[in-house]
Amino acid sequence: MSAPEVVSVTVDERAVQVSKGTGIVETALAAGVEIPVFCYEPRLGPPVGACRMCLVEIEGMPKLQAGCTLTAQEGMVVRTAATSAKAAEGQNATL
Amino acid sequence: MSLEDEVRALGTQYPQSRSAVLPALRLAQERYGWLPPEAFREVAGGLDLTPAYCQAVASFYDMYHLKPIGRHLVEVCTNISCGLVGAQAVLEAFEAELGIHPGETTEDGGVTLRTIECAGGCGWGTVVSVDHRYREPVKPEHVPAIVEELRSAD
Amino acid sequence: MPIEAIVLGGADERDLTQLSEYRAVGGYDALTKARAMEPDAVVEEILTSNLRGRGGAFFATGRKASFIPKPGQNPNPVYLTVNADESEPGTFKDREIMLRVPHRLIEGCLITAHAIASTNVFIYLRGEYLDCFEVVRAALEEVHGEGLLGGVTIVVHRGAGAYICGEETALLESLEGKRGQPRSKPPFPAISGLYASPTLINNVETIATVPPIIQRGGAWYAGLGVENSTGTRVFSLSGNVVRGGNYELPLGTSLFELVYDHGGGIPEDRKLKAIIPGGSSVPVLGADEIHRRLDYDSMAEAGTMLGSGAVIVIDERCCMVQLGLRVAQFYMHESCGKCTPCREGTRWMVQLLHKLEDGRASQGELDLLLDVCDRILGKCLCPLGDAAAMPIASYVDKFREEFQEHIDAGRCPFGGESSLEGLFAPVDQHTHDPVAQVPA
Repeated sequence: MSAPEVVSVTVDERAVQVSKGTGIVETALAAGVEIPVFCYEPRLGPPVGACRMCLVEIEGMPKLQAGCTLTAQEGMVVRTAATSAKAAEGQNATL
Repeated sequence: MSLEDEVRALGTQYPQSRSAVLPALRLAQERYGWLPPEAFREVAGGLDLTPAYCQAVASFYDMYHLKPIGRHLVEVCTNISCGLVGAQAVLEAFEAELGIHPGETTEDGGVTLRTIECAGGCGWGTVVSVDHRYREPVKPEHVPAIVEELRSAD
Repeated sequence: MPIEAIVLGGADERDLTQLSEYRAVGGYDALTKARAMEPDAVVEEILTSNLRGRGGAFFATGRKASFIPKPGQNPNPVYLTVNADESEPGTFKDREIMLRVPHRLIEGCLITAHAIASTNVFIYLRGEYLDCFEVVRAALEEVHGEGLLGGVTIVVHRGAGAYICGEETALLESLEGKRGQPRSKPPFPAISGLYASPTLINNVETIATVPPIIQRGGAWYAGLGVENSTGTRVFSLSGNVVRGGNYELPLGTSLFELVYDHGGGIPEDRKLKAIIPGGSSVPVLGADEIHRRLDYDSMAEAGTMLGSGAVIVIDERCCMVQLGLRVAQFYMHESCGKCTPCREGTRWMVQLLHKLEDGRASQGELDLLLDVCDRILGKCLCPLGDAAAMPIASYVDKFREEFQEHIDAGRCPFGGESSLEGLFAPVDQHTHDPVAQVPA
């Protein structure tokens, strides 16, 4: 049985390695960064992407992305409200 | 064939029978005139769904009526293009001729009047859908004849 | 200057709803040609044409088709879904295409199905288009009778009244028998679409353009129109114009030519005030922009979009604040409710625009309206939120003095004489329990 592919991602400048396809919320947690969520509860079901509380900035993607539905890819650079003004504005927009 | 059986047959036309819920609800509405609780029970029965699920789906879509409506339905488009060419005057002509406001039904249960969003006849406005057939263009002076037509149709 | 119609070609001279008439002008010859080609060669021809989606996104059609996994690469059936849910305010081109050249649409479906190795086609047709349903169904019966389907099933699935079902993932949800709420992307429909299977979704006009491209070659089509916007498209002209209707013209045609040469200009010699160039979801243009050209790059340069090709002409009698209100009411009504910024934001915009129109808004509330637009833009699950916020922001941007006048005068300066005065919106028919209101 082969091991799942591991990818390197940075979240708010912190480097972390996770299995490819791990959700960004979980990836961030692995890096010690907490992205706020509201409509996402993994124990209830798959992510929905409805509340928009978890919006983060992904380098190379023009629009903010929902951290709950997006999955980790090799070399992804994630910025949350802590290090990105755009992400902070996005999060505040929903509140 | 009962409605439930007809619905079941509709379900076989799709790779997954749940896909038939929209045409099934339309069929039920054509039978009952609107969608009463029995309709949801029969559609649910024919597609192995719950009545609550069917009602939840129906409530999302504008063309399903979860309250009784009149024998005839008059729907006036009041979106931008029709609005610019006098849709409000057409609506008010219907209100005057029928004696009701949009969203209401005449006392004899004959006609329900309502406004709708863009019907897709924009260059030929104002568009009025009468029992699902488009009349375009409609001017206020055409309204009495349309209402008379509906009254004598019964 | 003779303009050759391609999508609607031949429909003026003959009744192309009849199979025999359609065949007389070469109908279904392209299908025969395509079926003798390798599927990849058909995709290649569409790529060469540079045809871009005619629904509103303008995404390269050939490229989209190339995302579909090849046979052997995926275990699931491949689906072709035609988006016939035309509901963008101002747009009625697909209606005319289906009513007048249904066989060209069907032929396009069969060619495209061959190109992506699909034997299952669904045409998701907006529920209100009963006339189109009857015409397309009759044409399908003829095709079936003549044995032209070649093992492909085409199901016409009628919607039931929901603008959001024109968004591709919401359409798929609706087709699967659910409330039409959009899905997050990725995964994209090409990988996981209808029933989690690879699905190609295209607009009616896009599919109806495929037979001429196969018949006459992608290179021929690429030579029409302008760079980055090849070919012709059917423009829906409406509003304060003498001859509203659908006009098939080369991309790159100027708004002036469409409105004045083809549309006959504005009735009763009124003055042009504004133009919506691509359906209610795109930013508005001022009267001084009438010479701009209807192609992707020109519209982008103007800060707006080609959109659905719906050109709405607005004359001097229209209050732009009332227009903003009516447009906001449309999006509030059609918002599916799934994501917060759109569900709440469209409601806030309507409330603020009501206050502005009634002359009850404070100066700060005009800025608040723009702030609400910012809170929606780029943050929603699907493009409907942007489609609501962008036009509203553009009305304020281009007609700010008019908004200001409402505030300063404490009332609408049109004094009840605006062409949209008192326009009653569907959203006002539904009774609601009291919800949070912008403070009086």
